[in-house]
Amino acid sequence: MKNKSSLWICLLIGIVVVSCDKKPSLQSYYVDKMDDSSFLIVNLPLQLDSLFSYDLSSKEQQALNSIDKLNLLFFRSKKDQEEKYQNELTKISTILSQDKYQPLMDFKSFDKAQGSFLFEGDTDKVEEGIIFLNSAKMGFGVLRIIGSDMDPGVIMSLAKKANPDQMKKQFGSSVGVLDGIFD
Amino acid sequence: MKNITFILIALFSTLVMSGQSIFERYANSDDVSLVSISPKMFKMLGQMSINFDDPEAKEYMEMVSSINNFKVLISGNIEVSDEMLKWVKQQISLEDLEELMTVKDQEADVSFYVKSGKSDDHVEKLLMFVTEHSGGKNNLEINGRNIEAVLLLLEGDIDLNKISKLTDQMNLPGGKQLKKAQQKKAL
Repeated sequence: MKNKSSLWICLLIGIVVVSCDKKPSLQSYYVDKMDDSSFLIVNLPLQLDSLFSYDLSSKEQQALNSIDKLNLLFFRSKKDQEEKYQNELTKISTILSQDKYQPLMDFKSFDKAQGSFLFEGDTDKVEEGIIFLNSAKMGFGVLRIIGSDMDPGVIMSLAKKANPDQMKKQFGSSVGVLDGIFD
Repeated sequence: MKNITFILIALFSTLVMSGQSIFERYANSDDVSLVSISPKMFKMLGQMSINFDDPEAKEYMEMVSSINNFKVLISGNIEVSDEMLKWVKQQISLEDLEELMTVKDQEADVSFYVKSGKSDDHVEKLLMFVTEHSGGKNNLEINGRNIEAVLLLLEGDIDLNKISKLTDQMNLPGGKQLKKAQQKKAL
């Protein structure tokens, strides 16, 4: 009897140890590559309030606040880095194939480009939206839209209400940061 | 006893092998173009449709949300096209698909197979397979690459009367033929 119970305890500990085994998350990948010069990482905190010139319902206000920031990672492939490019591509693909990142859409155009949309959370409570793009010529990029309990439906209806002039301005200044990457 | 185990294993392995769809097999091949939309995406789109004020957009979204699986595979070489044809034939016998219609025209052969749904103009599954005639004058092209075959798979509760709207929008080869197909089915 004693033997049996110790066996159970061993098993239990085993399960706990295995489930605690931390798989690399997208976040830790970003952090890892922070100091790597082949990577470009941009953090864009979003201030969306100014986009809306008129009143929003409390539901919409809540949706607005649910989006925290955009996080972009870009690996630019250079000719002498072919091996590194393949390595990193494998790493990121493994991370994205974890169950917690649920695929929404995959696409591929022969040998030119490949990409996918994924998300984490529930369909009406999205914790994180992920856009992954890869092109053998350019390199690969991952865009994360981070928030808490984002409701895609409400966000869509918000997008319609956005003031286009303000949006241009905001977007222009954000994109301005990215200028010069692609030369 | 040994024999039975062997047979079971053999049966099981064939099941597993046929379970891998052609879309998964070529997901990382450079010889194909592909678009695959997961059921989760359709669920999300369905939830969004509540928030549309425009009735036309709403109808459109409702149709989209009646679909729960969408896959397109476009092959750029003959070997892949042959595999696609094999897979289609296998699906027809496995899933007991019914041929809706076949159109042969100058550029391509287009076949539609369906699995009947709850009523005459609703289907559970729609397979469209387009093969190009080799040596044809007007080659089908996407992004400058010659295409040999197109395979489209739709699953869900599909209204044939509405679906051609969707294919029209996607500008896929075969859209015109599908329109004819649903007209025929409606007769």
